[in-house]
Amino acid sequence: MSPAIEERHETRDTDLGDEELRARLSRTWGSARGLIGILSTVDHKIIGIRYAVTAFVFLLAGGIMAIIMRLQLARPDSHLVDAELYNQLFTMHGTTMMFLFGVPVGEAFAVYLVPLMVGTRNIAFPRLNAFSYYVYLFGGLMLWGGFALSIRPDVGWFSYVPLANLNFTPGKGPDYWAQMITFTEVAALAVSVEIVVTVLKQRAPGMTLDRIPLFVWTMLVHSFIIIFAMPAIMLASSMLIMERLVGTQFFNPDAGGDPLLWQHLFWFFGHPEVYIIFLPGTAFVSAIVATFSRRPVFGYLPMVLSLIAIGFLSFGLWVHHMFVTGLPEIGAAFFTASSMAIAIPNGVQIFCWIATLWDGKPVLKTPLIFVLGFFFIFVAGGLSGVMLASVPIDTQVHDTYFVVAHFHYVLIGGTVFPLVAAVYYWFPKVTGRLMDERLGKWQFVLAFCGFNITFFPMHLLGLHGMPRRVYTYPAEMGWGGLNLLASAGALLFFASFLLMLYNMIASARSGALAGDNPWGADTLEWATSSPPQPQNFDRIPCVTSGSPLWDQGDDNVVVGGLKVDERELVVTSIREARPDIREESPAPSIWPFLAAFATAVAFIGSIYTPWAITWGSPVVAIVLVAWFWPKTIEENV
Amino acid sequence: MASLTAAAGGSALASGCTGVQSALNPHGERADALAVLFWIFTAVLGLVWLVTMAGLFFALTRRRDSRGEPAQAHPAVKRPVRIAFAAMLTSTVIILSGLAVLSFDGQRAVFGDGAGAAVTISVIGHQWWWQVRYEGNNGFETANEIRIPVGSAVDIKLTTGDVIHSFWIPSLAGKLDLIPGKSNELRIQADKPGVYRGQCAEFCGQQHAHMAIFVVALEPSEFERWRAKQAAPARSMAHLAKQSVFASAASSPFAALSEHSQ
Amino acid sequence: MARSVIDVSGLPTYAFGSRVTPWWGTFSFCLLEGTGFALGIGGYLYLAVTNKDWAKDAVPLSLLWSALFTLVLVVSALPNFLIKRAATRESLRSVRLLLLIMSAVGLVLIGLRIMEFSALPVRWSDNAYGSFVWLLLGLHGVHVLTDVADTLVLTVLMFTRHGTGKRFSDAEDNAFYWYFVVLSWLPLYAVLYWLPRF
Repeated sequence: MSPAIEERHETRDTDLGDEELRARLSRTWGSARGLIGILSTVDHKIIGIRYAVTAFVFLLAGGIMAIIMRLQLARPDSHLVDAELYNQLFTMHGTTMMFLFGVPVGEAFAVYLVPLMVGTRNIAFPRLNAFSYYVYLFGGLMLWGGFALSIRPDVGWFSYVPLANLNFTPGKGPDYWAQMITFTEVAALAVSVEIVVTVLKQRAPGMTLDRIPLFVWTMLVHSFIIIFAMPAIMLASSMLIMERLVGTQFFNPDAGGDPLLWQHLFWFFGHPEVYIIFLPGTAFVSAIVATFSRRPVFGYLPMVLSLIAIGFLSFGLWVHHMFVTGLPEIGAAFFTASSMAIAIPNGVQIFCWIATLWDGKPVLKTPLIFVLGFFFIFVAGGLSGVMLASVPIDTQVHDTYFVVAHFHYVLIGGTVFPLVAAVYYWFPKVTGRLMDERLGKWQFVLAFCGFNITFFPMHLLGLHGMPRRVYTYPAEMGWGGLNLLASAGALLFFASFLLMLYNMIASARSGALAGDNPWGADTLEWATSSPPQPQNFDRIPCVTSGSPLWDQGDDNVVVGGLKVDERELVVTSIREARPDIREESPAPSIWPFLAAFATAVAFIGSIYTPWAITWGSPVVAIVLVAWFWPKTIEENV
Repeated sequence: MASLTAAAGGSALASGCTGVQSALNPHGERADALAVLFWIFTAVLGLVWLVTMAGLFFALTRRRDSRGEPAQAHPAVKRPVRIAFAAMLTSTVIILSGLAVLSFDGQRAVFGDGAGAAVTISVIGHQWWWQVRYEGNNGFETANEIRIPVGSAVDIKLTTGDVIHSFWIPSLAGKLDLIPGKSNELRIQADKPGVYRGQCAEFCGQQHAHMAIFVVALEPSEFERWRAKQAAPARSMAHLAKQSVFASAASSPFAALSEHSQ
Repeated sequence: MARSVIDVSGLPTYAFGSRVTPWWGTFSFCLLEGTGFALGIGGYLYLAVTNKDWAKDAVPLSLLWSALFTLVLVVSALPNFLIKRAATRESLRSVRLLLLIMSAVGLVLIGLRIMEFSALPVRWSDNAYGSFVWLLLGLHGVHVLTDVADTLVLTVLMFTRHGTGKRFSDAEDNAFYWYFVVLSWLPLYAVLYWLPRF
């Protein structure tokens, strides 16, 4: 080693003034320009934004599918689309919203915000993070590319067998569907592992377990749910594709199999999935309620315990999706009880948020207004969920528009309203500019009215006997009026998103400058510049409180002694967050992109020949070796 | 806007009594019990929703005048909040337990198999029609239409010839799936003569939307006459079914409806 | 004004066991893969209980290759333990030697698994029992294959100029994952080879 290198390595953050430190750290942690640089970046903020933008594009695509379906259903005996296309539309709508929007958008916020909130410089395993994004992107492109090429799954987002078997659904649609599942689940699992490790091991010194922001706790529980739930759907979708491609017999009752095995595996994942999508919504609500009430959320401990309880209970409910399959009575009764029990931790959370608002003097900015919309809609959806938990009531409303209404109340009310709130809330952090408040309030009016006009009538349609997944209905059924109303509402609701899109684009260009902490919030992401530098923090903060920015005031205590010209971050102990190691964070690399590409080619190839896995695996293996092969001798020091 | 929704909802509820295929327009013992249970749940949970919204409204308006106060990192936990928390937790547990007990009770009423049924009928689901087989020595078959005697319990044996379907006549009973390799049994009973429409409630492929079925409840004497006539030259209608399925789903049953309803 | 209150300049740049992030990453992957195995076994048992044809289909599998496989796998826990210890002590000589042994053991295991597949009395397409046997053996086989590949790469690394410092932590991590491969096999072995005999 030359003395020059030696000296460079010895430069520590304590040796430099603020200006020079910022400049040198941003060189060390920055991403290169050019195509290779763009594809090589491992900055969690850049990847988080990519996740979010991609998820929003899929939201719009899924939304357009929904609008076409609503236009078709607006009148009885309509022929706008035929049965075949309608079945493809609702399959794509459900699949896109669940797998390509609902899950990834939660990941997007986790990937962007968790490292900032815990006060570290990058997410754990940043190359895996880059890989996961490309795998997600390729999965989505594959599904929609197939759709454009008329390879269209049409057996629902749940792909029940035997309908999804080869003899009832020839063609490659369900195979594309099953492989897309594998893609997006690989991505979600990878992100979950990163979040778990980031939260457990990379918290800023002093951020003990009871000082972790509720947002971060929520994302931690969310990640654990993914870790235990997603293997079920990966197993199931692999079994389905094997059933279709190589003739296994898992679901064939005449050869020792059972079609209900698919349903058990699917819903073992499918019910936690609801919480996987919903928990990020509660994370947004916790952050926003605290900031605009000007105090921490009431009942930190009950909130955290409720989250953990939700995590556990979410695995004990899956059978309530199968109440009409003719289960033994006693088994069904058990799942009624467990399904009702999960209302308790949810109730505790709702109570704590309202108590926080009660104690404070809430400031009615757009983010909080959307959170109020969340209360109105989500509580209604949660309560209709209690009805569905009852086996006898479920025998009437199962697979009707009542259920469609219920889960849109839960998922849109529970996730999308908080999500819009979150966009308004964190937009200034990401772009440095505030979104327009006036447009935000108009958007709320449109979204709130549009949503309720669309989905409230669906409760009644379901009770009046309208089943789900029908492409049309006879005029004599008397469902025309309510359907027309719902369709009109859907247009309003869709318009609200176009307004948001306009607001985002306009505000990114010419919105009011935000400064570091425009809302006067308490968590660490507001302690850095907007947008944050590549290194997130020039000096790693020391945390002495659960609300560091409110409590610590001007006394800016920090960690010193990290190298400036290497990507070093502080690894801390799990409970006390005591500094333990200066770990090197991996540098940008093109290999994650290439690995994702090779994986995608092997997966897509496997739809056509199982040999693609055989030939693809060595290629993927070689790419992975290149990925992990150390580049320099210094890296080992 | 919310009031518009409510108004639309209200008028639709009012029209519920004339619903062709409505769970809220019950005409059988089981559907009655389900509708009662549904309304109890709706009333209780609706009240819970109102109380929650009232709490939210109160929380927002309590101290509205002063804005932008400095943040308090450690606000004292006030006594009323503690009491409210305890009350909320207790009442949630009580309400949920009560509803669960009602639900178990309803489950027994709905699924409990009573004495032997007067008639047993096999229904076999196909893409996209219903094969109906009257069991017994003089068995015979129909398609997309089940005739039953008024006032008697009828057991329906549900199996499928291809994919999963779900048998659902909302005015008479809840739904039950038809699953390959499995036989499910559902009991229905009609209180008065009429035509009760139902349709497949589990997505079963392209023409799922058109997979309707009609239960025609006849006075017992009329039913026996019909049955004797069907059984006499024992013949299978299965071969006729496929070609008649769409015609039957679209028009004839409504003709039957007007024929029987008055 | 920033006030530096903690000095981390003296902290190490790597460590072993649960102190480092890769250990937690591996642990998380063990959790999710373990869930996959548990669900696979759950599906197998579900069909064994619910499907009346199962008993007829479930022909017992030959015990020969699987017994050898299990024996080698369990015994490999010993060199694996020694690797962990040698890595923590940063003893390059021992780590190199033991990695060579583990690579050889891994290749033997892959050979045994291939023999196992070729001797199976059912095909995956015969019935659901056959499908599950192939699925579970295949799933575990993939885990053996990945860890052996990882071990081979690590062995090569250790014989190059990279065989210092943080690589010892990687070797320890690799040994940790091998324990998972061993442990996850035992319930699979019991269910696949012994359950149908009762």
